[in-house]
Amino acid sequence: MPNYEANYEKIEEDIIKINLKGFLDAHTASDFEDLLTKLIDDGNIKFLVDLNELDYISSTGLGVFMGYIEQIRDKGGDIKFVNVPKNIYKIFSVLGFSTIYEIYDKKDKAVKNF
Amino acid sequence: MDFSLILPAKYKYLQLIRIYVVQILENAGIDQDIIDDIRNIIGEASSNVVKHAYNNIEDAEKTIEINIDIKKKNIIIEIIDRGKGFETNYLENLTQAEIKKKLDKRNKGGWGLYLIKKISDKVEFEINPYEKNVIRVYKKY
Repeated sequence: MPNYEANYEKIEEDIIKINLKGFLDAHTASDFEDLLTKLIDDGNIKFLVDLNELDYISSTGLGVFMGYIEQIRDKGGDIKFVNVPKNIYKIFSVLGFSTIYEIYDKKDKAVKNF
Repeated sequence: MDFSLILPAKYKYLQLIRIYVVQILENAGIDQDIIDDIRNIIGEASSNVVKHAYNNIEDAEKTIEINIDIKKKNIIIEIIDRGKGFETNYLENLTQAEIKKKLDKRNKGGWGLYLIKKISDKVEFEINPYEKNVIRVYKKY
C-alpha cells in the first residue's frame, strides 16, 4: 500500500475519475488539495472519486472535498464517490457526509447520474 | 497489556502512529471493526494535537504520547500532549443541531472530536495547559 497516491483519467468527455490510494490525512491532504485546485482551474467540474485503494481517510482528508463542493455544484458539476471501502463509508455516514455526496457501488451508475 | 509510544508531534508521523496502533491490536486478536474505530480515534486525536494543541508548529521538542491499555473487555486509549489545551465543554456543546449547521455550511474542519465521540464508548479529558493534556477514550470489544 503506497503512503499516498492520486492519479486521474478522463473517463467521459467531461468527467474526471480520480483514483486515491494509501492514506489521506493531515500530512497528505495538501497534496490532494493542490491536485484538485489544478483540475478545477483547468475547467473540470465533474469528478468521480474512486476510493477502492484508499486505506485510510481522516476528517481533514474528507474536509478537502467540503472545501470545493459548493463551488463545483454552482458551476453545474459534482463530486461523486465510487468503490468506498466499508471502514471509510462509516466515516462518511457517522459525520453525515453521506447526505451531501452521492456514493455509488458501480462506476457506470455514477457516470449516468452526472 | 500496556503499550506506549512517544513521538515528535509532526504530521509526517501520524501514519507511523496509526500503523503502530493497528499492529498492536491485530497482535492482540481484536476484531477488524474495532481496530478501524480505534485507528480513527487515534488518527483524529493525534492530528488535533499537531494542529490545535501545538498550533501547527512542528517543533521537534513538542511530543505526542499514545498509551494503549488492553483490558479484558475494554481498550483504553490515551493521547497526551503538552500544548495549549482546550475547553472540555466543547464536546457537550456539539449537539446534533450544531453538527447540522456545520454540514450546511460545508465546514472543512472541526470534525475530529465529534467523530471520536461518535465511535467511542466514553471520552474523558484532563486538561492542564502546557503541562499535560490527556484525552482518554474507552472502546469496548
